[in-house]
Amino acid sequence: MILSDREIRAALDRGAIRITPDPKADPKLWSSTSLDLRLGDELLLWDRELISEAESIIDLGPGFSPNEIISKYSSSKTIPEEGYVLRPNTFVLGWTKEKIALPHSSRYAARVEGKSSLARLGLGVHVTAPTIHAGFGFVPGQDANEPQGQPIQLEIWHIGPFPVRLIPGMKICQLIVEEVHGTPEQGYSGTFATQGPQG
Amino acid sequence: MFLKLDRIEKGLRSVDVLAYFVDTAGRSDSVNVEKTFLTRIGNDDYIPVGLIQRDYSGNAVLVELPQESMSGNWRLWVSMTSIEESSKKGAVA
Repeated sequence: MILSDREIRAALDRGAIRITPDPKADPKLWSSTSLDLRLGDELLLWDRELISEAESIIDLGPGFSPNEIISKYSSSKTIPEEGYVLRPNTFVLGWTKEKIALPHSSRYAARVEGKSSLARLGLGVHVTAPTIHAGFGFVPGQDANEPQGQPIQLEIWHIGPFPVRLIPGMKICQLIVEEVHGTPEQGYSGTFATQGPQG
Repeated sequence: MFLKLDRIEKGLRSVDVLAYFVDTAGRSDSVNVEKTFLTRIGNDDYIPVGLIQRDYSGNAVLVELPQESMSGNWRLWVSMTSIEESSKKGAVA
């Protein structure tokens, strides 16, 4: 079941969903069943020159380590105030300005989805991995009033015909919050193992 | 509940770290998180995890990570000695 704007606000008020900075003060971020999230100020850009000289096939078998590939063939860039121009047929990693925490006991999960206004220009914000699982960004014992959570990583791709300018703080995606049926296992204190670790 | 880290390396962004941990089979894996997400307990850094199962006979705990690991895992068996149940949070430099 998808939460309405009123239910999301109520969940924020009781700490069942935690978002930093608090989005309640900005009515322009809200729609009836979603909350817009904004683009943070850092992107991870692929180095085309390095990639062109590298082996062209990435082995996804055991031992696959995307962080090694990312750190070797990409670099971080702070988006200037005037923005970063994303060319057609490019792909970068970005992050939301907002940090999200979903305590598992709250029984909420969420999805990050694109905005139709940007999609019409060919801009996408994730590559088939939109789910924000129950427990995301949550630190046990942390006070609900403390800044907390983790930003959501965005896989930003552009297949439209025109270059577009990404501006820090622009509305880049929307968060849709859903109820989880039942408390996830990690919401309990753990059970005795019927099958221990193997290999 | 918190899982002790094996080591920390530079993360994807300037504010991130790659937090490495080891499972009971000695396999290393990592998650990319903001530095402030780590918890300092004593002289070690930890990440929050959820408890799924305890295997007292094997001295192991099945935990769920706060996000999908770099190699695609959500749950892993770790040694009980790498687990801290305290929620006291310290500052991480």
